[in-house]
Amino acid sequence: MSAMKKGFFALIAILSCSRLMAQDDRQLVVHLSQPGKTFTLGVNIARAAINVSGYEGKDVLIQTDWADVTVQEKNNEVTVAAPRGKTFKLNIKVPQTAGIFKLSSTSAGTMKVSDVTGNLELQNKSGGIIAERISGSVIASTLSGRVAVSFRSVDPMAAMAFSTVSGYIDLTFPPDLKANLKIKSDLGKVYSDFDLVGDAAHPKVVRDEKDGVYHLSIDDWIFGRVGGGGPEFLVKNTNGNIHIYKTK
Amino acid sequence: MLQVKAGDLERMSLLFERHHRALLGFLFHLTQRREASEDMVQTVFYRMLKYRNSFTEGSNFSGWMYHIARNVLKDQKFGSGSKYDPISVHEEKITGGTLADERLEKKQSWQQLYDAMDMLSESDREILILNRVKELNYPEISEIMGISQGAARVRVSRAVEELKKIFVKKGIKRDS
Amino acid sequence: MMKCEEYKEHLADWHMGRLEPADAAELEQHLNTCADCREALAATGFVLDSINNLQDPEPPIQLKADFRAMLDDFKAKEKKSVFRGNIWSWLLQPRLPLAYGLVILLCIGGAYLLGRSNKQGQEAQERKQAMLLTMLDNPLASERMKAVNYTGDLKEVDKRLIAALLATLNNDPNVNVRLSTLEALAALGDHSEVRTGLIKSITTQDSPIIQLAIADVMLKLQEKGSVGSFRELLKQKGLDDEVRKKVKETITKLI
Repeated sequence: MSAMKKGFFALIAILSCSRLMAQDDRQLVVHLSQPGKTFTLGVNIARAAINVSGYEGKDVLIQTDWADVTVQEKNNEVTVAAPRGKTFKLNIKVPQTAGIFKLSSTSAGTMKVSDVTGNLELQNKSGGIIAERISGSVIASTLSGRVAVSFRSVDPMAAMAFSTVSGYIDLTFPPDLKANLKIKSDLGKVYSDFDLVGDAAHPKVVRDEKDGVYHLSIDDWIFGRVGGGGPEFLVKNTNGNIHIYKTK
Repeated sequence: MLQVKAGDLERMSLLFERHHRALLGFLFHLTQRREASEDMVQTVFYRMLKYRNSFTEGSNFSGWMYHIARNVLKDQKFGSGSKYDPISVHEEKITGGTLADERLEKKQSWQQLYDAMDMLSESDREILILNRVKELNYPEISEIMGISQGAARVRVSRAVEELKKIFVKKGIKRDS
Repeated sequence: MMKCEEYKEHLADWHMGRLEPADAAELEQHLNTCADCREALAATGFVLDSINNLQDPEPPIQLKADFRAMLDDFKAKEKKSVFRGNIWSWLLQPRLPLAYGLVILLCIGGAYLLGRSNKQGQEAQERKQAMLLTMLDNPLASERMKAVNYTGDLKEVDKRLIAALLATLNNDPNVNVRLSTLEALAALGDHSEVRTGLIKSITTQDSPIIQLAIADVMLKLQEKGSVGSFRELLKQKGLDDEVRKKVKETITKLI
C-alpha cells in the first residue's frame, strides 16, 4: 500500500475515533402534566443500561450518553425511546410519589431501580435485575442474571412474580408480610427465615433446620403461606439458590 | 314486558355510584374480609338487577339494598382461609416519623374493636353496624330487620350493653 | 315518668340524635338529676363513637369497572331472554290450560328449590368469570396475574375462559404473566382443549422461562402428544442451552 493511502486511512481512523469519543452527556428535564399524581415510566430499549432512582423533586430527570434518545410525556405518561444501536447509559430520576414502571431491556447488563413507590414491571434478558427499597409491588423476569429485590413496604393486595433461568433470586420483605408463596427451583435450594405454612391443598413443605434458617428441599412447586396468607407471589428459577428473608 | 328497559339498567349504574361505598363499608365491618366484601357488593347489585321488578318505585332503595345484603351475607360461607389484615386495606405508605406512629396506634385500636365485636353474637354485631350506616334511619332499620321500631331500639341498646361488657373484659378504656 | 332502666334504653338513640325533641328533652331532664344514667351515657357514647370512627375501606377503582362489566354482561343476556319470553307466551295460550298450569307450577317449584341452593354459587361463578375476563385486559401486569391466579378459585371453567387463558399464554407481553397462566392451565389439564392449546404453544413461545416450564408441565401431565412439538422445538436455531437440555430429558421421559 502506498504511503499516501496509509496516511489517508489513518486520518479517517482518527476522525472516526474522535467522533465516537465526542459523546455528550445529555440531561433532560421532563415536566409531568399532573405533578404529584401517579405517573407512568415506560422504557423498552434493547441496549439501554437502565438505572432508575427516586429523588425529592417533581420532575422526571433523564441523563444519558447518547444523542439519539428521545422522550415523550403525555398526561403523566413518560416514554423513553431510542433507535437500535449500541449500548448506552440511561439514568433516570423520578419523584417518590406513586408510579407505574414498565422497564424492559435485553443486553445491557444489570437493570437497577431504587427508592421508588408503585407498580414495577421489570424485564431483562442477559443481565440481572436489582430493585432496592421499593414501596409497592414488583414483577421481575430475566434469563441469565440474578433477581435481587428488597421492599420497604409491600402493596398488600398485589400479586408478584420473580423469575430467572440461571441466576439466584434474593428477596427481602418486611417481617409482617402476608402472602402465598409459590416457589420452584430445579437445581437450587430455597432458604427462608419466614415461617412458611402449608395448607390442606398443599401440605408438602419439607424442611430441615440449620443455623436457624430453613432449607427447603425441592420437589415440584412449594406452596407456603406467610403471615396467614395473602396474594400469590411466584418465585422461580432453574439454576441458583433462592433466598427469601425478612428485613432486619 | 320482557323488553330490556335501557333507562332502568343505567339507573342501576347511578345507584351504584351513590351507594357502593356505604355498602362496602357495611359488609367489610361485619366480615373484615376485604375481597369477599368487594365480591358481595357485586352480588348485591347483581341481585338487584335480577329482581328489579319486585322493587316498587318510590319505596326506599337503601332499605331494599341492605335487605338483600343481609341475605347475601347469610348465603355466604367463608372458607377457613385468612382474613387479610383488614387494616392494611388503605395501602398507607409508612413513611416513618410521628405520623406513622399515630397511624399505627389507630390501626391497633381498630383491630381491638374488631376483636371485641367478634365476641358479640352475629345479630348484635349486625344491628350495630347497620345502625352505623348514615343513610339509614330507624324506620328503615326496623324494616330491614323485619322488626318493630321499638324492638329495634331495644336491640341496639342491648347490643351496646354487651359490647360495653366486652370492652371492660378486654380492658378497653376511654381516655378521660 | 320512666324508670332508669327505660331511660337507659334511649341513650343510644339520644347519642345518635334520633330521639324526638319531646323525648330528648325528657331524657335530658332526667340526666340532670341522675349520675348513674350520665355514667351510662358516657360509656354508651364511647362505644358508639368507637364504632362510628371505624374507617370505611376505600373501594378500589376495579370495583366500578367490574360492576360495569357485570352490567354490560347482564344487558346482553337480557336481550337473549326476549326470545325465551315468546316461547312462554305461546305455551300459556288457552290450550289445556290446567295441565299446562300444573306442569309450569311443578317446573317452577322444582327449579326454585334447586335454584335456591345453587343460586348463590352460580351467581358468584358467573360474576367472577365476567370479572376475570375484564381483568385479563388490565394494563397492569400485576392485575392480569391476579386474574390468572383467581381462576384457580373457580369451581368450573368454561370454554370462554380457557380460550382467554390460552390467548394470554400466547400473547401477553409480560413473561411472568405468561408463566402464571401456564401454571393455571396446567391445573386445568383434564380439559382436552387445554392440552391441545398447550402443545400448540410449545413452538410459538420464545421465552426460555416459558419453554422450560412447558416441558415441566407436559411431563407432569404425561402428555405424550407433546413429543412431536418438542422435537420441532429442538430444531430451532438459537435455542437456549438449558432449554435444549431439558427438552431432550423430557422427550426421553415421555416416550
